[in-house]
Amino acid sequence: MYKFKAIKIVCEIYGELSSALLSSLKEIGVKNMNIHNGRSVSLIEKSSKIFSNLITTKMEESPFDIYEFYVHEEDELKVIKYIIKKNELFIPGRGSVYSIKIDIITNEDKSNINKINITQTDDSIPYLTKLVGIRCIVQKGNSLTAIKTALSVGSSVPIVSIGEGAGLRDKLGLLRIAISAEKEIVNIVVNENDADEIMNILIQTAKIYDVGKGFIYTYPINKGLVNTKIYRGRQKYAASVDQIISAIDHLKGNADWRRKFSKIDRYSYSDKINILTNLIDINFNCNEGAAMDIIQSVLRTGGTGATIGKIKSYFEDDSDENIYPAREISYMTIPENHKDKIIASLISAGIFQPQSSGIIEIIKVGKASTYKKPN
Amino acid sequence: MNKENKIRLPLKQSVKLIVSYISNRVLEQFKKISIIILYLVFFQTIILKMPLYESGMIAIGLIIIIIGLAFFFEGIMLGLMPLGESLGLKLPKKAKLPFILVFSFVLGVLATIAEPAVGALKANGIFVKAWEAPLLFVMLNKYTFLLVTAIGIGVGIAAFIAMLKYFFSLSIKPILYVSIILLLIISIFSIFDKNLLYILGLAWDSGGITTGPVTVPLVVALGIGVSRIVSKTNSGLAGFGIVTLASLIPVLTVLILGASLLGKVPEPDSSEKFFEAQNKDKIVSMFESEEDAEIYILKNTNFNTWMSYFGSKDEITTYIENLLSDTSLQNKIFSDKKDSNEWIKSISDAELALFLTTKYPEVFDIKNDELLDKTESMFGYIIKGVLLENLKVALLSIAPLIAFLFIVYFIFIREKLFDLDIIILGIVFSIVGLTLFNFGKDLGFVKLGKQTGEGLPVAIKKIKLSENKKIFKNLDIDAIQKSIKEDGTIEKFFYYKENDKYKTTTFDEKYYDSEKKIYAIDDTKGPLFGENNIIPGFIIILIFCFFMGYSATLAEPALNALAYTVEELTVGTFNKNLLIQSVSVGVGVGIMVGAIKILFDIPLIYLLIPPYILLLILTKFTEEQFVSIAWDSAGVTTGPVTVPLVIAIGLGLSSQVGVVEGFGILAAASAFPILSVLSTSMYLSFKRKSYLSDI
Repeated sequence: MYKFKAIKIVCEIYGELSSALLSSLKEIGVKNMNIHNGRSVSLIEKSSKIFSNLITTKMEESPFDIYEFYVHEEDELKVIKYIIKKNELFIPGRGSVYSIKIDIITNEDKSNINKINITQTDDSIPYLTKLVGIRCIVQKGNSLTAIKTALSVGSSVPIVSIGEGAGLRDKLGLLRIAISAEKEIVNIVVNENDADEIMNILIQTAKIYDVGKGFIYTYPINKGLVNTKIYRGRQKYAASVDQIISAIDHLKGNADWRRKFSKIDRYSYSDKINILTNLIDINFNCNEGAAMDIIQSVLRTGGTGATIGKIKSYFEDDSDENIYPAREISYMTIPENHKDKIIASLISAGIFQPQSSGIIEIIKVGKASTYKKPN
Repeated sequence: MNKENKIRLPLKQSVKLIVSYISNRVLEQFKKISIIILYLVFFQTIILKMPLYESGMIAIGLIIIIIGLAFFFEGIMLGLMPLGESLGLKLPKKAKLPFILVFSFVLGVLATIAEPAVGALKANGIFVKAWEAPLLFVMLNKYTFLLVTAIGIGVGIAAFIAMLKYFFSLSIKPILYVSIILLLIISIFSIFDKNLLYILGLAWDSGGITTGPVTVPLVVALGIGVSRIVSKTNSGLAGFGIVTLASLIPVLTVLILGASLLGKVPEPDSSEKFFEAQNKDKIVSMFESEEDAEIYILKNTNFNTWMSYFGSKDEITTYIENLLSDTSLQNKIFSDKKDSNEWIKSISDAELALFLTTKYPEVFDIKNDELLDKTESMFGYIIKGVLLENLKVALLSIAPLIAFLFIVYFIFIREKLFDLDIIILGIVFSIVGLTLFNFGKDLGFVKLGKQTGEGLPVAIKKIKLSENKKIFKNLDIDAIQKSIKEDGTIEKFFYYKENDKYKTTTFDEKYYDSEKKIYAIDDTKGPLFGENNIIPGFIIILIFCFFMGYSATLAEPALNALAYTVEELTVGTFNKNLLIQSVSVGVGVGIMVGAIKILFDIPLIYLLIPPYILLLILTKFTEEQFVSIAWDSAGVTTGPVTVPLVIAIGLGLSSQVGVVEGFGILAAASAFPILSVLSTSMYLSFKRKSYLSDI
């Protein structure tokens, strides 16, 4: 077992640009990565065909692909800048890229970390710091409320992917067919100073505090550039609002200037809301079909629940026969003091066995919230 | 699952969960199927003004259908698809390519043999006249096994090619270009042979019919699983394309089978010439035995054909006398009728009916013992006969396939199958669902469809209601009245009393036996808008066909499963309802075009070449991932809800309009949804492209 620190680069890209991103990543020596399918939701303005003055806004879904790969800490900024430049992510709407500090536990040496080959960097490339990711996991079909909220606070374009829940449901025997396991995972990236408030609004609107409604948590993002193209439609000026925002972001170096919520008069959490701290996110990816078994045995040793999504892994050289192209990723949030126990049970459940070929990532969680059992 | 860790919910809470689970599923199916049912009933009673027979039984049947569909759809989602996908995910890692190719070929053949819809082809065969399309007749009757095998081999080859496509990340487009152009060329050649011409419709229909509600979800899931492992592309949609191949390749194998059987049958001719005594050897070889050939002639042809087959009236007399003494022969002839009286009433040739009834009044008294027993306890017959029969069909169509998949899984993959308990439950659900669905279909849906199908031609012409043949005994010549038309021609008619009402009917001396005073005539009805005004009638038929196709397709379980999968794979960007709606509109248009084919007796080839050429052009300009979905949706449209209706309409129209075979509607119903889904995809692509220019 090896344990080391690394940087995870996440790049959310518009579906049509996906293959261009893939080839640009190959160019700089990214040899293995994971790809999820997702969708973004943005607002589009449409003028009515009959009454041309009537402009309606509707939500529109577009396919997005999410690329994830590991790099060494010293390569972090180079890679982010390269991706932004090569794929012109500074034009709002094309996609986002950001980095997360993680701990990796694997069975092999650091072979999972891509050796990046970039010689020159361009200092004029804009990027932001002080960002926070919010991940909200809800029942399938209920993501709309969370998405609407995210769009209405104008933070960033939410990216939705799908997953399958594991937890209480699996202890019901055959009765479990009566409860849908399908989940939607809504991911948004916001300004650090707004994170608490936006999370609070999401909890309220999506009723996360009710039983079975879902789970929400925040995680720190190191550096990145986020897609702010919330509105699409007719453009009246030489630059769109999101272009102006992106320009000012670049000048300021962070998005703190567009903070929406005052630090002084923020309202307190309602009693219903149950804020959890001192948590970590244990994610792992493994061959498709293996994740559910691993989760089941972890649940037996005290885990609370997990969400599993399907991903596709990309390997430049198919040298490792045990790693399937079809993989699964599991998100599981646990108290920090259970970390060693859970990792031990993951390993004893066979996560590093050849048929699973898993990799564990540990990410620090800022705050989290879910249903709290009344005392 | 660890037993100690299991949570036991309080009974009340479990019941609540189960009730809401069931009611959601049933309600969903109810919404889907109620459209087509309300539509059929509305059309039959309000537009055609035809009575709806057996409405009570139909209603019970429909309730059973809804429950059956709910079970079946849930079975697909819980059992068949997860099993297919797990197998697809594991197979490429555990087995070498040659093994997988053999496996998929066997799977294709097995799936076809088990497919109940293939039986629907046979049902259509009953109405094909031996002398009009001899080759088609033998393929649907004597050589059904060969036909099913040919289709099965076609599906097997399709699965084989599909696997190669996944493994080598081939594009579906060139495969489509080659196979469509090949099929069209062979089809064009086959119209030059009188016999092959008639199997063209069968060949193109069999493609659509093989890809049924069990096969499609299983095969699609398998394809998705395999392509997730082996395909180089990032899109999950690479797994599609297998269904369309399974619809196209069988067309080829059926045409090849037809060509190879060509030497065994005589050329089409009029029934008198076809059944001439000197042709006897060849004719008998078209049936199982000489006895069967004679029964066929007796039941399906006219008096003159009888004469030309037997040679003289004496021979006929010998045959009838033999018939009167041989009870096993009687039961064989009246196999589906309670007694000979009922049969004679439904005889297509009034002259033959008259001959029998005058010469041999005792023919009237033959009873079919087997069927009489059945009718005595209607309830027992329904439960035992229909329900058990359908259970058998459902088991046959699911069990062998599933057994094959399980055997492959546990022998070659030897891994734990995740959620095995739910998969097994799903399989049980799908068997229960299919049984109930088919049971309800037999009780209600088919009857409803058949009544509307038979009634439909009323819109444009006077139709014979042959089940209502009237035989008047003791008709006195004095009762005949005369009437005069404007142009001076005289027509005879007489009054009769039925249900306490006096009615009139025309009198034709040809059907009157003056010695025995017996008169036989067909009951007629229509046309709806009068003799000289049939254009509104045509329009009504076409509108009917469009909405029928549209609303029946909405309820197709395989289409719903496919659409659900597409939505999931595209993370919601290709909406489930968008796909279902565009496929349904396509099927509606297709069935409308199919009806035009039958009404105007247009050769099928004219309806195939233009749409398929257009399809190839559209395919060229559509994105790869959408091409596979579009072509695959064609295969799933022709499922258990649509097929019986289409067949009923096809039969109803063709028997009344007098064309040789009612095949080809399904073929048209397969081509047009591809068109509509390709158009929808092009719109989606366009929208996606415009996203970048928008920003």
